Amino acid sequence: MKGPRTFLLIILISLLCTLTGCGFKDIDKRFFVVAMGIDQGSKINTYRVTLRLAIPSSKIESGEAKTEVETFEAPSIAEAVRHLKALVDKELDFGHCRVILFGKPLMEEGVDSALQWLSRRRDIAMVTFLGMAEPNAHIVLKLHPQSERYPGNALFLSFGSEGTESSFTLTEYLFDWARRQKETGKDAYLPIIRRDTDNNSYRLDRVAFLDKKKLRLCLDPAETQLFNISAKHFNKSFMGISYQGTRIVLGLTQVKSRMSISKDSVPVVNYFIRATGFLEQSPRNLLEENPSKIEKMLETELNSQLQDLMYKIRNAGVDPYGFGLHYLAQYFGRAKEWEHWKQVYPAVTFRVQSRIVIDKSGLIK
Amino acid sequence: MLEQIKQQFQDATDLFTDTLDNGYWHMEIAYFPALCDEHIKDGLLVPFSYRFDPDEFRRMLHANPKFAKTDKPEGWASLLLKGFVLIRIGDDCYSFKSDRTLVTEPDTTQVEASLEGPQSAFTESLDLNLYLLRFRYNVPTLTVEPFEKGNFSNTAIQVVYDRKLVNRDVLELLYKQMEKVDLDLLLSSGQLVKSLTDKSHRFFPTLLQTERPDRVASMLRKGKIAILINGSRLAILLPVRLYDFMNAMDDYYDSFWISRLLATMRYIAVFLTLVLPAAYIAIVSYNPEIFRVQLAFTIDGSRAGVPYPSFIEVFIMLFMIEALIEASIRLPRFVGSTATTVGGLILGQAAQQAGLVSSIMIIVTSVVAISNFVIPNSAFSQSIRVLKYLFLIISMIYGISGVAVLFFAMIVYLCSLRSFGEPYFAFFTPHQRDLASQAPGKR
Repeated sequence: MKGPRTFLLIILISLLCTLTGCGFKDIDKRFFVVAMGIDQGSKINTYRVTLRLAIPSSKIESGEAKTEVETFEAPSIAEAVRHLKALVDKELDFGHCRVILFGKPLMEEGVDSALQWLSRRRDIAMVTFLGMAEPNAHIVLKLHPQSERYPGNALFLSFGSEGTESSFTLTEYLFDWARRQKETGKDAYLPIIRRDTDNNSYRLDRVAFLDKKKLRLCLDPAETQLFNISAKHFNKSFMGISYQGTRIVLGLTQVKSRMSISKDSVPVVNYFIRATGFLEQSPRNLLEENPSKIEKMLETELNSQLQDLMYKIRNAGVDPYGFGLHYLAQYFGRAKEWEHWKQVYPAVTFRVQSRIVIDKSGLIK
Repeated sequence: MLEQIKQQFQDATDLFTDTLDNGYWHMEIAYFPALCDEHIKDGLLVPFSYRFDPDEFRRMLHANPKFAKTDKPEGWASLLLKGFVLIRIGDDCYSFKSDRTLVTEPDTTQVEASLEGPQSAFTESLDLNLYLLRFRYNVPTLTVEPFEKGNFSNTAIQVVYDRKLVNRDVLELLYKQMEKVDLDLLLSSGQLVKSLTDKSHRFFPTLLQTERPDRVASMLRKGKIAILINGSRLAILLPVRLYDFMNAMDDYYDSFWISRLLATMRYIAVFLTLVLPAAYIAIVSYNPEIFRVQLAFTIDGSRAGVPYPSFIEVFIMLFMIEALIEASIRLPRFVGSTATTVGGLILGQAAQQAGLVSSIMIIVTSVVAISNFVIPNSAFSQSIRVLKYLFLIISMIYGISGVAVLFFAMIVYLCSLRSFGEPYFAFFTPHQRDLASQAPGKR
């Protein structure tokens, strides 16, 4: 009785030993990729992959972070990455790759195969930030900001909500981008990242819209913020208008919006937006006069700006708001409805109705 | 009588046997002077020398409960060995209880210290222990059943329970197990614990040993059974749940929020001491993406000078800390502090500076050691100490997923454990009032 049991146990244990986890490799034998850039190669149908690798040190100080930038050109991203392994002394690890940048020229061509590689690799986290680099990813990744404490941290912090939270900066994750690329009636967007003019930091205040294939439209910073407020409900933003020769700035604290689309032959998109905020800057005793008048002014301003933005986006043939998806969801849309929507989308009209509430005056001494 | 006794104790030179004569009548007497105390003088010898009438003396024998008639010669030897005095007047034999008790005061708690609770602990004397218990659990339903175990030690054991609350099934099971106990020398409660559990290779203790009378009292109130052993400072409690091992007596005495907070902290500590070294290996060598970026780079930087793979680093540090703990238990108190100083300060700091281990590993090791001491019960703390190594080995081979699977397996194992038929890992037990009415065949 005891003999066979121990025998079985030994066999089981030896079988277990043949299974191993996903490769034992100590942390100091790994080279962490902190950012990755994908550009168009110099030849047709080639990619130029740039990796920013972290050189760790136990000491953490501003500006002391060391990184190494490696780049290689190959017919596909996968091949380029495999080849890059031959250029470094440690195992490449994409586990901490938090930023992936696409060069603008590549975006203009289309990035479908890039997405494939990104979503198939298990070691690339789906919470990776995506961005479009201008003029190309290599140049942006070469930048070495002074404020960087550990390798790549300036990039992470500018993108996510961990560090700075700016209403001009949109954040796009890999998972969201992959979803938007597949979803019917909703298109992807990417924040545009550039070197700042002083070459010491990054500049992320614009957004690019893509349809399923390639880049269609880039917005300027003001429009970017408007998109951020209306589509992403980003509530640390502001609105400013001129009033009797001075400037009134409303800091937003809460934004809500909803839309409804009529089922006419040419649908009308009714977009309702409600924003609450406090006055960050205004002339003295402004609220004593007539707050609702200021609210009205802000509302008309917002309505016209937002309508202009929506028409601009519509004319570019993209749909980052997801009007198409909403239309399909509202009317149980199938393939026929989708065909109809695609036909009439260039002609849809937008009606924006906004409601602005001045909640507080801010602290007054 | 004396002939028979002398035959049984042939070479026992410390046995005192004599025939006393007070001038009017004789009395045969036999006892071990080493086992008996001074009461023999006042209780037996003085009355004997002044009572010249044997009948008067006999009346005294009947009036004092310390005297008992013992006519069966086969019981004499064990009585003598227990510290009784045997006398024979005419044809009748009597025993006089005069056993020496060295311990007259309760011990102070040494292992299970409490901040605000009572400081008295069980002693090595059974009588005093019973006093400590009766004093705290003062009801007529408290039942004490005597047993005797150990072929050579003849150790007295008492099974204590509240007969209104106890679960009869558990009691039957205990009696059955007690019959199976076959030990030559029963010297410590730990031996009884081992022979009372069916499978001695369990990872977790299924019987609770405690030195605190207040804990035993509170457990008796919950319908549990306590076993007191003569010569052992620890009482055994059964059936118990995992929760009982993690429960310090202070939890009863502290205010609601602080006791909940401390209890939660204790469970977190157990989790840490169990998983942290394994997680260190798994994360450092398999899945560094689990760390935050900063931490990954710091560990990367601090590990850069370490020549060995992470698991050897962990084994070096854990061996050091285990040796340190073991040394400070075994060493005499005066030298003990030296060991901790040498180990803690010099080895820890030096090992890191010499590049043998990373600085994060020092933190991991100290968290493991400190968290392990948070566990209130030493038997449970030791089982966690051992189990940690299983996690280590698994994490070496399978990484973080191995640790997760092993943790799940441990939960399954805990669920399968039974302590005298009661589920070991049960979070909720029936309420006390229900328990009393549920007990089948209550008397």
